[in-house]
Amino acid sequence: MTEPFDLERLLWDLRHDPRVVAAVQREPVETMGAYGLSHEEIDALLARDFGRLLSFGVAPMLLYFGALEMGVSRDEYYTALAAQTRAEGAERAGGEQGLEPRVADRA
Amino acid sequence: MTSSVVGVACMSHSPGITGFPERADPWAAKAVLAGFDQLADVVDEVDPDAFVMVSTEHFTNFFVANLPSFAVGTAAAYDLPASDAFASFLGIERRRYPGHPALGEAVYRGLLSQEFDPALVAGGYGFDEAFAVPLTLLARGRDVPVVPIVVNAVHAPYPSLARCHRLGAAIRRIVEAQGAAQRVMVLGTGGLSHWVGLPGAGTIDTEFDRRVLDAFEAGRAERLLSLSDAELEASGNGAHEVRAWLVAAGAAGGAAFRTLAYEPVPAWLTGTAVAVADPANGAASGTASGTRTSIQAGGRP
Repeated sequence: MTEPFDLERLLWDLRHDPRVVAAVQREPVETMGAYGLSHEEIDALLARDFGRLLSFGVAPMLLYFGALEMGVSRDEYYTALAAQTRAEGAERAGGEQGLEPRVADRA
Repeated sequence: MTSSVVGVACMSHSPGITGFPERADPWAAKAVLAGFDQLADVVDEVDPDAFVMVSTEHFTNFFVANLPSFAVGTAAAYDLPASDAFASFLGIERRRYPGHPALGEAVYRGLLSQEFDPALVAGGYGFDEAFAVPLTLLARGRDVPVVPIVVNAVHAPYPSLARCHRLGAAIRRIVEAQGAAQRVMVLGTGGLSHWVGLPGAGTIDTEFDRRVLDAFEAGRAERLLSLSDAELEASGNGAHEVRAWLVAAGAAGGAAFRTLAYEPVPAWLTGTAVAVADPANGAASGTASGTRTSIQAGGRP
């Protein structure tokens, strides 16, 4: 298995243990580090760069639920993800064009 | 007295159906709820002693540290939904929902004897939307005891579609051989196309959805068994939940399904469907004529 287990374990715990939610709010870097997350993973989490986190192979449902526990709303999550996806697409295309957003409705 | 599968149905379980129906196109929401209402009528008519309810779960109880491909619940009761937060999210008052330990035990032991080796869930399990939404919409003041069966549809690698279909056939054989519940209805919940936590969220793949419904209406769900994981993924990570439908189809023994509702609902992120079959009619029965109630209704304002 190549999935980022430590990152997924943090996201799982965020959903199931309010003490972890509080710890991430209080001391985010230390808490994430204690889970064994890499600097890249910590940076992406702190920046709420969901597109990058998905690129690490994290399960999308776990990421989405974990984001909700970090105080990100449903609309904020999908809006950020769409923007990040467009930015990645633009980067891959040499800045000529971005990916078309696939979010038809973010109600 | 013999025991039998007296009804089989499949349905979506989007949280929006109960949690935020107002966000959907009113016509679509009405059509979906009408489909569930028709299915509740069928449940009333069939009057089952128990549900065997097949679905996935969304990292509410299981995690990748210990993720079963299949699991069978034998508990006396379950939290519906799993937490106060879920109750708020789903718009469902939290309560205990009855299980059917004797039937659960029969299904668990029966599957072991047929070499499926499911995980055992003897207690401590709380329902997320996968079970909570359909059970709430079908309840009508009476709780049909349930045996939940969980199929992994959230994290690769997944059980194959063919194995899911065979699991359903095995469930039917087990139901017919046990004496704990005479009249059993098998329900599969999930899908159809949807993306969760991915940039595609809100996109509905109506072509995929209609392919699934066409196969079920023809009583030929096995047409779908050749779908690869990549093909399912192209219709959203949530499309993997069609596994639950295929388990139900296996229990239906080739009976044709009637689609009671189908609506692509972007606000719920889901191609939302309700379908029902009468397994007593067998493979040769039923046609698709006049079955897509909501699709054919027309006159959308």
